[in-house]
Amino acid sequence: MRNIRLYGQFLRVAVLGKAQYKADFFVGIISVLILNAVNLSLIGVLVYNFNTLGSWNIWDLMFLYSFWMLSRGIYGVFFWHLSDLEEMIVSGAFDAYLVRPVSPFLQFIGKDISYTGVGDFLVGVLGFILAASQLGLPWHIGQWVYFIICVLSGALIQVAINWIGASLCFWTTRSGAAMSIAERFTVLMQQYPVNIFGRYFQVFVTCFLPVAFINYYPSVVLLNKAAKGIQLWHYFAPLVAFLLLGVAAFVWKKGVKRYAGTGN
Amino acid sequence: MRVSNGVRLRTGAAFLRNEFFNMSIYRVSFWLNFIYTFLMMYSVGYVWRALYGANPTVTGVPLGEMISYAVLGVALEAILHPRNGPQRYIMEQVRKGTIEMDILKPLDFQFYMFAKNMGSILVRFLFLVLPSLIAAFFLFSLELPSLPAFCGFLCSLIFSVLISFFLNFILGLLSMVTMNIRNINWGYNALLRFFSGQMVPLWIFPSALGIIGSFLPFRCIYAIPMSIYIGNYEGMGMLWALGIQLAWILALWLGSRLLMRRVFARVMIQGG
Repeated sequence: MRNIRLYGQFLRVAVLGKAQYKADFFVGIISVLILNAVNLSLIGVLVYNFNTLGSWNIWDLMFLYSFWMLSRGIYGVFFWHLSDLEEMIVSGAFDAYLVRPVSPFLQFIGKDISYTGVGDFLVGVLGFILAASQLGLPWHIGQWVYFIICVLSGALIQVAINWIGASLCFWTTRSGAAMSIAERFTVLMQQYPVNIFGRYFQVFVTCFLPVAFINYYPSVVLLNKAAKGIQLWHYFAPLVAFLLLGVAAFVWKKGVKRYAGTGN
Repeated sequence: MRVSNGVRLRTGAAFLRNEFFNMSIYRVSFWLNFIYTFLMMYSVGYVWRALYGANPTVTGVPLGEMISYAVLGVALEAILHPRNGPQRYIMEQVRKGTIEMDILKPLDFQFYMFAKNMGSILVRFLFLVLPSLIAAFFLFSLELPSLPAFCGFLCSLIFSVLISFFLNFILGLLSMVTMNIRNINWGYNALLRFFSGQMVPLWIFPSALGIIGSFLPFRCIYAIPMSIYIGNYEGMGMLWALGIQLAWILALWLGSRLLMRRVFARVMIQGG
């Protein structure tokens, strides 16, 4: 309880800090909007010419993309600065967190918020409304609930992957390059339905780096896109998020212990 | 200050060597970049296969050529992406307030940036582009061009590197005026992604967008060399395309010289 209150306080400070730079806020959001417009129009040009991409039409793809944007927005606002950990370890700024009587993770995660996430979320909302109006979406209440749960679990999967990636720098000091590759790989994977990339890729992004559970499998279930019928494990996105967060917390604990133990 | 050509060449070579040593420090990020390029080539191939599976006649070129085009676009990103241009260095120097050290060197500033940039481009070409193209030939069915197309491609690629340098250099000059180019850079990046034909070939764009694209310099960076490679421009068409690139090089060179003079005058008056 105390932790939640503290986190709220930390965030308030972070928001106030950001509020000094109003122009940066708007320019930042506009750049995110432009970047996403470019991404979507490129896919749009392709599908405009070809009509479908492996049985997905343009509105299905729009749904897939905005699904990802919604979860990425939530992840981005609160956790984008996970990648700053490397810099803080190198410069020694992280050490200050270890001596205070609050969990280092809470302090680290509460130190900043990112407004590019707001832009992503906006794109997600707009895209979803557009796609939903074209697709019709005859969902009952259960499917809506599942949709919201999956957006949240998609955000948590991204948190967990980046949390694990960032924690690696307790061992290697440098983790930025690996994280940026994982990020660019994720970006590519989320724009297209995973099943077009062949069997090996599909196994890889399902079992090893489970980015397919962020938006692909939930979309398969919700849009009924499975070629051989929907399997039970297609529903596993929330479970995967839960497990992955557990792994991430474990890796982080080990990392902090190791870092504190060696006296850096 | 006037410097003889011999000295210029030797300074150029020195920067090149320097850049090579700089790059070889970051070995891990080098390998990760290689893995990334590899994954990208693999996946763009699959995207095109899936698209062709539904509708094989849309682009007017056979699937093999289209995959070669896409794979080439991924490989060339290692040298043509704006993040490898000089503007980041310039921006950094402006922020630290040490840019006048670079301007006051007894060497033309543009030539200095050029030599520095070409060093890293050459190293990236030899150690990232070339190996990934060889891998693509064996693994991702990259097709080999005919001899004239290959010569045209090499020539055109050199032109692309020059055009991309001039555009990046102009962005760098702008950073001296605006003090922050992160957002300009972002916009430039987006335009380049869209109108360069790197991912989606320009000839399948809806006509209005295609016409806008043909008046912009961005297609000279990716689309022209890649189209020459897969044999889309032949004979006079190829010469015409190379001519367009040359015209842009001339225009951008003149433009950047003029801009540099104006910006420097401003920087000097401000007291740098």
